[in-house]
Amino acid sequence: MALVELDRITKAFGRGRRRVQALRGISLTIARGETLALVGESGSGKSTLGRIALRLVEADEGTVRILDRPVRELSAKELRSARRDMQMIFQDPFGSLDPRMVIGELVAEPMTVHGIGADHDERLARAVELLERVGLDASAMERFPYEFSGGQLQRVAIARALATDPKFLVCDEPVAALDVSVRAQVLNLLTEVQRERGLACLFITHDLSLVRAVADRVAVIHHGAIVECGPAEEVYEHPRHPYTQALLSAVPGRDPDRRSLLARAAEQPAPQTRESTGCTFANRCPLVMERCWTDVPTPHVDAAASHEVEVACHHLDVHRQQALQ
Amino acid sequence: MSTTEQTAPLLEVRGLSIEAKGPDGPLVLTEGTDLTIRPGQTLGLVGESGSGKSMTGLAMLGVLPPSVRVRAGQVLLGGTDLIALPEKELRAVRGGRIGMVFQEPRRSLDPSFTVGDQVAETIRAHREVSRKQARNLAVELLDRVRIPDPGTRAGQYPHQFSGGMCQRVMLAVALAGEPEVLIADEPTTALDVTVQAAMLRLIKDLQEELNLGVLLITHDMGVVAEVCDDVAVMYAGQVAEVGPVRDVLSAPRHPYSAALRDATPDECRRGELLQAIPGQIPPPSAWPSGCRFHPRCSLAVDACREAAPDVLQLGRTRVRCARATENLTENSANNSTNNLTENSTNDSTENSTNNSAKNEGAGHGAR
Repeated sequence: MALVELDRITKAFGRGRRRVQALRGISLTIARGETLALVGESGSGKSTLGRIALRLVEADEGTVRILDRPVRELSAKELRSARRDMQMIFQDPFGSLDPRMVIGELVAEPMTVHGIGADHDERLARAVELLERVGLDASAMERFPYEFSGGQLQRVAIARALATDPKFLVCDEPVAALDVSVRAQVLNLLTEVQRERGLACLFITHDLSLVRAVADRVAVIHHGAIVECGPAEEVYEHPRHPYTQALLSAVPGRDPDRRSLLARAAEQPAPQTRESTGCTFANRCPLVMERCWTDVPTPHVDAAASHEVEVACHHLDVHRQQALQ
Repeated sequence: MSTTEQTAPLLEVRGLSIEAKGPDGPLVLTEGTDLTIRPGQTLGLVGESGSGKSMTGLAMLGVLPPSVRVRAGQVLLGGTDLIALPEKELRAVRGGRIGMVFQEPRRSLDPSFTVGDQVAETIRAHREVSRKQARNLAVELLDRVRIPDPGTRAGQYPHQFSGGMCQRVMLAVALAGEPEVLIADEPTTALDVTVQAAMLRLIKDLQEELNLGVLLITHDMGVVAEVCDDVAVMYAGQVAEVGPVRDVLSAPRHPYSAALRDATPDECRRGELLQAIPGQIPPPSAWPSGCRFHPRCSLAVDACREAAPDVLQLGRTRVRCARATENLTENSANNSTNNLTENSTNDSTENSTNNSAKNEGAGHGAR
C-alpha cells in the first residue's frame, strides 16, 4: 500500500496575465521503503510538488494522503502532529540551519517541538546518537554551523530530519551544492538510512545521472506534468518519452572515447514559438505531430510490455496502435 | 584530439603561486602551477571547491581579490608576462586578448542597462568605433552567440533573459574584444543539463570559428570528458596530474584523478554504493605534510606521508605522485569498487561511513 499518495494535484501562481500553471494534475504514489526520484529542469514544478506533499504550500486542487490521512483536511493541531511523520532536507544546509544554534540544539529542536523524550537531557543524548549515525562525533554538539563544511552540514540536516523518526522524507536537491567526492558520501548515507528505517522518500533532483543510484522509481516532470514514470533502471536504460531522451542525452558522459554530447546537442531542434494547449513539450519535441499542439496526452502503460513505465506521449500512442493493428 | 606537440602555446602559466593575507602571515593558496593553452584547444582545469582552480583563473586575468596576490610565477601571453604588466596595460589585455565568462551570468550583468549597451560598452573599451557602430557590432555578436532575434533582444534588460540566454550574453561580452584566449569559470554549473549541452556546443563552435584557446574551469569530469583536449587536475593548490584527456581519464596516474572520475554516479545502480572519496579537501591552513592527498588516498604508504612527491613526466602526462610509476591506480580503482559494492550489509557500510566521517573530522580538527 502506498504510504504517500498524490492525486491530481494542480497549482497555479500569480493571476491574470502573470498566471503560471506550475502543476497540471499530477498523480504519484510512494510506498513504504521506496525512493521515488522526481526529475526535471528548473521551473518544472518539482520543488513545488515536494512542498505540496508536505503541505508547506497548499495545492489548488487534488489531494495528498499520507498514511491514508488526507493532509489537507487536517486541523492545525492535527497537522502539527502529522508533521512528525514527514520531514524535509533542503539543498543549501547553510541556509536551512540556523547559524546561531549549536549543532546539538539544531538536532534536538524537532524533538522539543514534537514532545519527544522525557526531558532536554534525553533529547540531547538522542541527538548524539543521531549525529553518530550520520558519521559525526559528539564533539560536534557544541559547535556552530559555520565551523562545518557543506558535506558535514548536510549530515547534520539528515540527523535533524531523522530526529522525529519520520516515515516520509522529502529531499530537495540534497547534494546539488556539494562537491563531487562529498556528494557520493552523502548520497550513500541517505540511501543507508532510508533502507534502515524503511522510509518513503521523494528525491527531487535535476540530475538524471543520480537517479539510478538512489531511486527505485523515477518520475520525469516537464512544465508541471509527469511525462514518464517507472522503475529507475528501465527509464534510465530505455527512455521512451522524447523529453526523457533529451534529458538523458544531455548528461555528459565520462568516457572521452565516446564523446557524443556535442553532436547530440546540435541535433536538438530549436524551440518553436507556437503556443501549445496540448503536450507541454510540443515546442521542443523532435517528433511533434499536429495533435500534440491541441490534445493533452494522458499517461498510460503499454499493455503488451513487461515493464511498468507510464508514458504520456501521443507519438508513442500512435506507435502502439500501429503495432496492434 | 590532443595534438599538443604541434601547436605553439598561446598562453602559458609557469610556476604560479598565489597567497592570501592571513592572521598568522601569508597563507599559500596555490603552488607551482604550470599550464599551457594552445590555439584551438581546450584545457580543462578540474578540482573540488577550495582546490585553487578559480584563483588560478583570476590570477591569469589580474583580478584577484584585494587580500590575495601572486607570490611567484609568470603568465605568458605571446611572450609578455601579464603578472609584471602595469595595470593600465593589463586592462587592454583583460577583455581584449583574453575574454572571460563566469558562473552565475545574471550576477555578472548589470540589471539596469540593456543587454546591447553592455556588449557595446565592452566593444568601445577595446576598439575605436562610434557608439552607433558599437551598437551594430553588439547585435552582430548577439547573433553570433545564437540569440534569436538579436535586434530586439539587444534592447532588453537582463531580467528578460533566462539563465542560459544570460550566459550567451556574457559570452558575447567576452568575445567583444576579439580575444585569442577565453577563460570560462564554471560557465554551465548553474544551468539545466539541456541548456548546458547547448552552451558547451556553442563554446566549441565559436572556438573553431575563431581558433580560440579555451581554459575551462569546472568540477565536472563529465564535461571535461566531452569537450576538453587536455586536462589539469588540481588538488589542494597543486596540479596533481596534467595531460591529454584521453590518457588522464582512461588511465589516470594519480589516485585523486581516478577517484574523482569514479565518484560520478552515472554508472552506479540501485543497491550499489557510490565510490565516495573519504574525507574532504583540507583548507590551505591545514594542508598535510608530504603528499597533500595522502590522508584520503587508499594507496598511501609511509613515503607519501613524509616527503612531497616530485612531478614526473610519464608519456604525455605529468603527475605528482610518488607511486605513479608503479601503475597501481587502475588496480586500486577496481579494488575500491569491489569493496564498496560488496559491502551492502549494514555493518560494513556503516564502517565505511564512519571511517569517512572520521577523516572529515580529522581534516576539520586541524583547521
